[in-house]
Amino acid sequence: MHDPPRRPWTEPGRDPELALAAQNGDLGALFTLLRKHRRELWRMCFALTLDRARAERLFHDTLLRAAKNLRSLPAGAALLPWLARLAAHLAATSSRQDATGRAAGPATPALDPVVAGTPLGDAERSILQAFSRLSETDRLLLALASIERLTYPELAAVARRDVPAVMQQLAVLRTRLAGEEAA
Amino acid sequence: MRHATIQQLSAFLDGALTGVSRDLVTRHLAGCTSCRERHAMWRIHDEVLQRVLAWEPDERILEECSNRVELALTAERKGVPGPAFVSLLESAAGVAPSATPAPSPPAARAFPLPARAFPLPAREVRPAAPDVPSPAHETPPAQTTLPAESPPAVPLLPMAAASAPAFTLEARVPAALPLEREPEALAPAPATAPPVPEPLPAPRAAASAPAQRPVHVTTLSVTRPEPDAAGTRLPASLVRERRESVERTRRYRWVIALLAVLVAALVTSPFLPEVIQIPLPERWLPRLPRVEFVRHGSTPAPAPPVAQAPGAQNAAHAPTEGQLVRRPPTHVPVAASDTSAAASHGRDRVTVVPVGVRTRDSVATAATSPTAATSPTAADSASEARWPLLCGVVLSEKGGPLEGAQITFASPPLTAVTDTEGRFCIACPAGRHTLRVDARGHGAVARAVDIEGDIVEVRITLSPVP
Repeated sequence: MHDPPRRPWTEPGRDPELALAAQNGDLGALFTLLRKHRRELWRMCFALTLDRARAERLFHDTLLRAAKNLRSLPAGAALLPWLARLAAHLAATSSRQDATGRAAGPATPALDPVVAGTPLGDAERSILQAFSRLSETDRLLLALASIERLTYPELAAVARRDVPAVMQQLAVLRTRLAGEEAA
Repeated sequence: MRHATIQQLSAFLDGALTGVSRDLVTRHLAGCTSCRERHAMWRIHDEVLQRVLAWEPDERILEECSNRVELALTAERKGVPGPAFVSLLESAAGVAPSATPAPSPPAARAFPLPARAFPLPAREVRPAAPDVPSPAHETPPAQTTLPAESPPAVPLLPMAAASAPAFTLEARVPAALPLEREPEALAPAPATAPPVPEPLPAPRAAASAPAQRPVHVTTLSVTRPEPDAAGTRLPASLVRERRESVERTRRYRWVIALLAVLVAALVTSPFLPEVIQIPLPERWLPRLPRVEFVRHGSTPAPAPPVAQAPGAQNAAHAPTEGQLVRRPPTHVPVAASDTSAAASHGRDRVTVVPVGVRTRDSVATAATSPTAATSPTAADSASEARWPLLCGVVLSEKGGPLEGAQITFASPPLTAVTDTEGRFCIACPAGRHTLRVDARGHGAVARAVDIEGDIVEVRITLSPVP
């Protein structure tokens, strides 16, 4: 945790106020709320899909689903963890649908060779392949720790678990990632 | 040697260890090759994930994504179908880099390669026959063969800011018509092509003539609704619908209420009794106000009802000033006689108007009546006119007036009945008399009264029959 953590993940700020106005039909408040965290949400969508086009679709679907289900946002809570969990849920649903249609349909497209607009070396491709074999929830947790640099208490708050469980899960995930890469 | 646990290594990698714990892991890593390699591998994984996955698209792409979501939400709010999802990144991948390049992400710094070094594989575009329009799903995306200077399929127009009142999204989609393209431009790249593709052909517009390719331009304007009275932004159509709904409800509320009453009556009619009896008080009688016609300047004075002796109504007398006047029974027009009398005398006087008094004439027999021996002559009438008045009130034990109580004089045989206030008034000769008071439900009372002067008042209380 070398960099200071990003506050939007744990500090609600004006999120409850905007969410309340949006629930009362204020489209402007809703748009402001959705625009507020779009960068962080995009990074999570990209980490969950490892593909630019699918990340764009997941970003779109997550925002639409969030606008429709804004009433289920806990009162006084920050929007970003809720959005990330929603994105992970949608990504898992999409993965299951892809796995169902994969039996009779075409093969799964390979990993985007230009994941981030730049080519991948063999090492990076191997690591990302191993990362893609993790579940969406595990990918979200690992991305929050690696990309967003959240502390363990913040990770526990976002994942709605306690700190020792988060520490244990991160250690196991890193071990699994190394094992998948070696395989 | 006891190795460090994966929890210790993970926490050490995340910088979560402090003090003695961190020193222990540091010393252990210095002496343990296995743990040091594991830690190094995890660090590499962490750095790769951070470098690659922290990629963000162009700010313009993010803005377009947000606008597309807002457009879909606004269309859904208005009840119209939203625009179909078209990937902006896939569209932008086939065109040249934008004029304002995105800030370099960490991955770009790690891999400083030209932007078009690894292009996506060119899409195979098959032009339709000139005389057969292509179906919609086979319409080739224009961005795959557009020159670098051409706009993408979904132009990234400058959108309004979040606080702007409205914005417009314009989509340009190539028409499903034969494309006027050079066959060379549509051919797939050869297998031996170098990694860097050949520069795309110059646009036709720049070459010779204006562009001939038809393009469908779809413009969808989204207006930010005005805030209503509560400060909530609602679409104008929704506000109008609500207002009309309220007006309809207000207009037909009486009809709705009447229908509700009718339905309730129909529903409850099988459970209602055939006869509804409403018990009324025993003494309850509807009363109408009396009407008096009085001459201007004369003051009608209320007076107790007057009972008359037999033959008294035939007496012709001329009342004098200040004298009580006995009136005939109620069927005689009292006011007319008053006015005629007043007109004949030409001056004001006290007027007695008997109202609500039922008089009863009793015919006395020869044995009982002292006046039966003589016929009712003018002398008798004149003597009766000078009889004093016995007035009184008949009350119950509780103090309430007794209506219909009968007051009877034995000699002379006179009878009177009390009115609704329990009052009676009867003219009888002076002297000592015994009157009998009888009311229904009460015991009869006989009482001796000395009648002297002009008016004698009595108060009689009757006890109920046990």
